[in-house]
Amino acid sequence: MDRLISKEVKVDLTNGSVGKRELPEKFARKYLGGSGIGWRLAAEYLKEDIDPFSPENVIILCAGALVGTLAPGASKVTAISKFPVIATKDGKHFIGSSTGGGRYFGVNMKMAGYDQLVITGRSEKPVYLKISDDEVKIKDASDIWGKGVDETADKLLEIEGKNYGVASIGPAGENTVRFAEMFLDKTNSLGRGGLGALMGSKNLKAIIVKGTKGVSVARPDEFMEIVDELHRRILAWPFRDHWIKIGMGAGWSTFKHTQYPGIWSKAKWEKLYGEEKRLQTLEEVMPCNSCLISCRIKWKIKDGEFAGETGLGSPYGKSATSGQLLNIEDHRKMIHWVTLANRAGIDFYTTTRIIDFVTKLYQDGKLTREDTGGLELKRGYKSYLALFDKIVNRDDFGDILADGWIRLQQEFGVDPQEFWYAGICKGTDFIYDARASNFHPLMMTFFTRPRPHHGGSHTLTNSPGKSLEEIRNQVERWGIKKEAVKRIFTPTTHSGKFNVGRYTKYMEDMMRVKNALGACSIYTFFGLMFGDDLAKLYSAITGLEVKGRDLVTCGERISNIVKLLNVREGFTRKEDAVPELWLRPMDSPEGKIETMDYFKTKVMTKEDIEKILDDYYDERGWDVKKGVPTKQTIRNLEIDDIEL
Amino acid sequence: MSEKIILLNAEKCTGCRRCELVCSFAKEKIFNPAQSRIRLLRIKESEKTVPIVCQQCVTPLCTYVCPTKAITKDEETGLVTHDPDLCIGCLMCFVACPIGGISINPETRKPIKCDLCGGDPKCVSECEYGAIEFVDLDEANEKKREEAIRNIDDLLKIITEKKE
Repeated sequence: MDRLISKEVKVDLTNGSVGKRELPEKFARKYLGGSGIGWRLAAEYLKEDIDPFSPENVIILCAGALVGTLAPGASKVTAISKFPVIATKDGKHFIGSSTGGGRYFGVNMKMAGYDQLVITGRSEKPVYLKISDDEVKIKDASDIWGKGVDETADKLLEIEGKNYGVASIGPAGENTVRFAEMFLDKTNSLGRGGLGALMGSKNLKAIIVKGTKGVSVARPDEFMEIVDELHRRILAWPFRDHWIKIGMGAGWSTFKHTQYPGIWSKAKWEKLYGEEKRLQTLEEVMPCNSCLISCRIKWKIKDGEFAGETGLGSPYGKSATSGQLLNIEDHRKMIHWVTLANRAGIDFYTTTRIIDFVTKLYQDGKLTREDTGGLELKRGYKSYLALFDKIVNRDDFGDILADGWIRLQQEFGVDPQEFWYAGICKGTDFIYDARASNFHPLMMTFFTRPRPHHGGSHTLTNSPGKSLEEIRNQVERWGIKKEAVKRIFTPTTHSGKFNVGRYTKYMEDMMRVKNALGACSIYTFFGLMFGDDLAKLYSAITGLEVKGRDLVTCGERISNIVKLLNVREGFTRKEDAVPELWLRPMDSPEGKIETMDYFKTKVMTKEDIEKILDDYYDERGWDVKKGVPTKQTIRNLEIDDIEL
Repeated sequence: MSEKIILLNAEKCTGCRRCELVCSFAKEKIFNPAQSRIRLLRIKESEKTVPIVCQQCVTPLCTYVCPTKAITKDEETGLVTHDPDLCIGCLMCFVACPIGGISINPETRKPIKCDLCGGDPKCVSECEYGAIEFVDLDEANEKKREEAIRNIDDLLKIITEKKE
């Protein structure tokens, strides 16, 4: 099959129709493949100002151009849609994407011959979608409705056969909790935007896919040579042994500083949630398809109340951060809670933080029993879990919480910015806080787009303390133009020796590239793969001749389409607001922690961050005041043919 | 030269599927687990995977049931080879194999099986989790014994704990 021709399969759940089409080669030349082309389709399918829960909303699931090959870790699936999470007080919703790996789903989509799976409409009754090579069927799901994410997947594998990739939702998605997640192969979440709720709103319980057609490569020998070189490089990485032993848990030495919530001392946190504790529940690592590092694991609680309980995914960051926030000292209790959240198919970060926030408000007298519908909000594990159930099931007070931060604000007149950790922008709480981790480029993307972290942008600079040489090497290996490199490293008073705003533009574009290719950003995060490597892989698989800088241009096109779609929804610079929380020092047992610049030379002021934002828009060629793409930029990128 | 065998260690298999991908690519120039000679069996509840591949049996049942002598054992090298030109696709070999070491190629509907890549099995070079090794018979025995001893150690621990 010609890898320059993407194949789309579109299913309308309202009338059960299935359409397939091949997308023109020019799409690959402009948007690479996978979610790059997916965004081009989004511009075609997503009409202005629709309700995310209306049948008109689409879910565009895209498997990256390298998925299904031996390119290390290329397993990523990206879902594009209008997010159910309420982004602003006047009811705007962001059009965004979420990315996750997996062992079966993405690779099977590709083996069945599809690059993009578009789902629209709404079924009258619960259904699941079954794709097996050319066959596409909508099947009755009444027997599995109400079941958890993992039970749903297991049941379907039992009925349909074991070799399917499964995307499924749990009760939280069925109940349209706005921060419900979709899970791939029970292990990897498409999280944060509320894709689970979107599936629920469409009465779509699961998607299963199996394929036997394979992924062909234009220049096989060349492709294998590049794969072999990357393979050798990854094997020589000194931290690999640690990662394949403990998965993402290996990140603790950085994590304990960057994600520190400031409630306990770091020593206490280390004792209760450090690596020693992590090893106590570790069963084995579970890499995604073709990955040589492995960040996912299978865990098992070995003793205590929840002895014997197992789960799949990456539980340690979540349990450690929320464990500290909620003052739960027994790590097994938090691991158990992660298991419950994964079964329910709900965003653990958002849920636990909302629970923390409302409990605090109640204790401070800012929420009354009348507000909570008679519910007394107490501190303690049991009360938290009771409230968790209410959110998942949208019972009583839980029904309001299930609508997220902005609804809380509207209902009770409380300001989510008063929540004491991480920060919130466009209705989404961030995974971590700039005060603990310094103002690095990922922090920028927390407010330039609402779904950061893995789906956001991962490059070397996401950990503090990288040298200027390392950063320079990275931008050069992605083929960033000389003039831009000069701008990135021209010192300013607001961003020091490294211009975070200007750099962020390229980092976002690189992320668009990685998602379009399905390449995992863990490799770019550790400097194990760069744009030049990805360009070689892409050239060999498609037969096109591209360099890193060509990929970045495609990434920039994709970034601009995303922005244009959201500008149409009413998002401007006003919504890219700096979280006020970051401007207030965090009082912690470790002392006062303030948002410092990347190299920790000074405390960042609001003016500094605004100036960095100016630089970001300027580097993008957007109107700096409005924060929107200019006509000239759209023309230069040759995306003026898209009507938005 | 002593004979080498593929030594599978299901315990160590993580399910990354690099073995299946490289095998299909080496043999068919396409990435397609369905066309791989080595396959991972998925145990759905635990999400454990177990690699399975032809073990080049001493008494290969596949060769006995093949009506066209498409599958034969080379007595010198020990390799059980399949000749697709002689093969009529009756799939008796597939039926007879007691370990599931023969697969059906969905493209040709004929059996496919491992030929050890002429002495340098690609799946072995791709497996970085220690689940697939290509070792001398002696070494295989040694490795198995070491593993068994480790298991006994665990077993003894459980027994002592129970006594206490």
